[in-house]
Amino acid sequence: MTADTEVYYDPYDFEIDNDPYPVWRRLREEAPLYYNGKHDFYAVSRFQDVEQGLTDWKTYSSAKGMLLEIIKAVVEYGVELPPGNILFEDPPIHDVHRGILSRVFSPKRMLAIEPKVREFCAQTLDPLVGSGGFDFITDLGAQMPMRTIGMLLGIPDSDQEAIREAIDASLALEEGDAPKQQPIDALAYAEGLFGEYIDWRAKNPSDDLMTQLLEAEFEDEHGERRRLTRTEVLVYVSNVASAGNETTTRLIGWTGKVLAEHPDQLAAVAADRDLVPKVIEEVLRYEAPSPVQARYVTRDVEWYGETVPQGSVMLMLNGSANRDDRKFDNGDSFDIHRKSEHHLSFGFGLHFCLGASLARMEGRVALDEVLKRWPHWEVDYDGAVQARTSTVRGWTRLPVRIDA
Amino acid sequence: MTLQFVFHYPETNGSDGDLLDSGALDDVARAAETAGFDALALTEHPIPGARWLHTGGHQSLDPFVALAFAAAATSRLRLLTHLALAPYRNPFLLAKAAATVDKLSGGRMILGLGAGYQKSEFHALGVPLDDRGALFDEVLDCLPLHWKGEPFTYQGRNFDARDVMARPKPVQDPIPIWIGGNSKAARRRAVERAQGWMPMIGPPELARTTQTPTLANFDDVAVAIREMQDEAEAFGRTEPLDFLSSYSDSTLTDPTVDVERHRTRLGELEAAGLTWVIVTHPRCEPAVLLDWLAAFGSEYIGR
Repeated sequence: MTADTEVYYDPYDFEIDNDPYPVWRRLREEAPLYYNGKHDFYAVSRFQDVEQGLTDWKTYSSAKGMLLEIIKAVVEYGVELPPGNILFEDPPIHDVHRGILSRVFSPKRMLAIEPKVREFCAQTLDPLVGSGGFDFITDLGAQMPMRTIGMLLGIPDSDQEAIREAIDASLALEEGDAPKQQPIDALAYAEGLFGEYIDWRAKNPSDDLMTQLLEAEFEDEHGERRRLTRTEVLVYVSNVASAGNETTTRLIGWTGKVLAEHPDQLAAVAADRDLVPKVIEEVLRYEAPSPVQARYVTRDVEWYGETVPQGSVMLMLNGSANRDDRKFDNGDSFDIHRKSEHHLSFGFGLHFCLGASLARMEGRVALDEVLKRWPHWEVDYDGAVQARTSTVRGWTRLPVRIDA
Repeated sequence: MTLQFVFHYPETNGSDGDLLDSGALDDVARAAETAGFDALALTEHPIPGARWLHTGGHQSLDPFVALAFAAAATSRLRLLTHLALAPYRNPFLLAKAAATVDKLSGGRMILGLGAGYQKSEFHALGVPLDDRGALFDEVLDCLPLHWKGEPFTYQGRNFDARDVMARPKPVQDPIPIWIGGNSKAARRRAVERAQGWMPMIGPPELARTTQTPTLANFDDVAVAIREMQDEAEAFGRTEPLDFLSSYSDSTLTDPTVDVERHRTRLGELEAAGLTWVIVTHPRCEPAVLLDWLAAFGSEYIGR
């Protein structure tokens, strides 16, 4: 088959975002190095290329941000990014900050709260049994990640819902254009969300992650041993909360949608819930909640015979890489029985998702608790609404019908 | 020669949990191979003491059966027993098991052998612990004879084979034998009768448990390696020996931090004469292990 039109990819085009996979497939086959003149960015889309690019932080820097519009704002308008956000850092400073978080945010600690998360699911889902349906997002996915992070941080339940709404609002896109960049007031914004809680927790230490962050001692980039400043803690916590909220909400939504579209596989996992972890992995691969990672190109690099000049923005399309037939047999098909292989939904290299264990646990628990109550559901697409952000892809509403 | 990497399948300690909690062996083997690892390793404890297993000992598969299974899922990965206990088996059964894995895998077997130390295990298997050294030497007599594929007669202290012959021959000639343990005897066996040495580095407590002399750090190992290379030359060896040691560190489980430090360290190990390092990961969810294998490979292997 020959392509009649040249392939066009635009992360701000809602039409494409509804189902980017046909475009991404064409990128992989026809334009493995893609250039978009309208928004002035390059993109790679094959598994091997994305994996290699994400590892090579010297060439593909995160120091100017990891969203297209943020890098543009930093490069063109000289916007300054808040310090301490490990997503916007390269080594050596990245390693200092990541080291602290990695110690505090241990997989063991995350898995330890699983029983509490299950309990929250039960409280949320039990009242919905017999009601004929529920919404994967508003009834479950929107709340659970915030509550889970709240449990880790020790945030009181009453403060949690407001925090999540504020974060969602700050990430929402207007159709057609690159969004106005948001990081200018990030610090003030984080202050509004977590400032009071940090001060309260500093006076009332407990065994939560916040207390550990406040008390953690580390060697900074100047070789000085110290604790984190209040501002640094603020930035860390807002990062952890926003990164973990939004993406995990989308994971739970995709789980509901993709399984409804594959009723035979839904029946299989409903009959054998030992398959739940495999299902979550396949959902992660198939519908990456964060499918596009932007990087700033620090030197001229060659891709497929073309030169990408220093100063460009490169999009690493990890959501496309996950569908690459070169890595995954029949990559565009959803198959919970496929051979286990690592995918790029949590990124790769030094920015690999710090909360991957947490997200996996939440995805597992959410699906398991839903399946305990309902072995089958159908999406009510009239009521379903897709979320619009340039880095996170998924649903803001996903109502499902349960046949009695 | 650049440093080669062995992945040891995560151990399940104690009697709770399942040995394969970290992922199906074929999935893990495939992922290790894709990540660039050169070998997969499994240990052997056919019938350990209950107290040892309850108090943090590790579960195990029969390494030969399991490595053959892993071989079927891979094409390049070497298959290492780390380690099998030489005195536990009749030498010809051991030779046949290793030869079978080697044949089925197209020549990818590496036979890591130790003398063993668990009293209750020796007892249960009907093997006298005190004879383990002599039995080990007899095993090393028998393996090459068996693997030659020609008729032979062997009269040892315990085993008497008269005009016997084993086919098929293994693919490799010979299957590499790597000797584990820090003792003089282990080092002598490696230099004179094997292809590699697997020292065990650790504090004196570890050495006491496993009944082997202490090698406290990599400096000690470097010295030992140099001595053994000299001994090998004096013995008339022409083929270089392989040297394998484990490398572990609290931050190795997170390949996003401390990468430069670990790279430097691995470079030092290579400079000390090691040709292989073995790494592992704590027991975890299968998906976590797959991510880790890919990340470890990308950061440390082939650089």
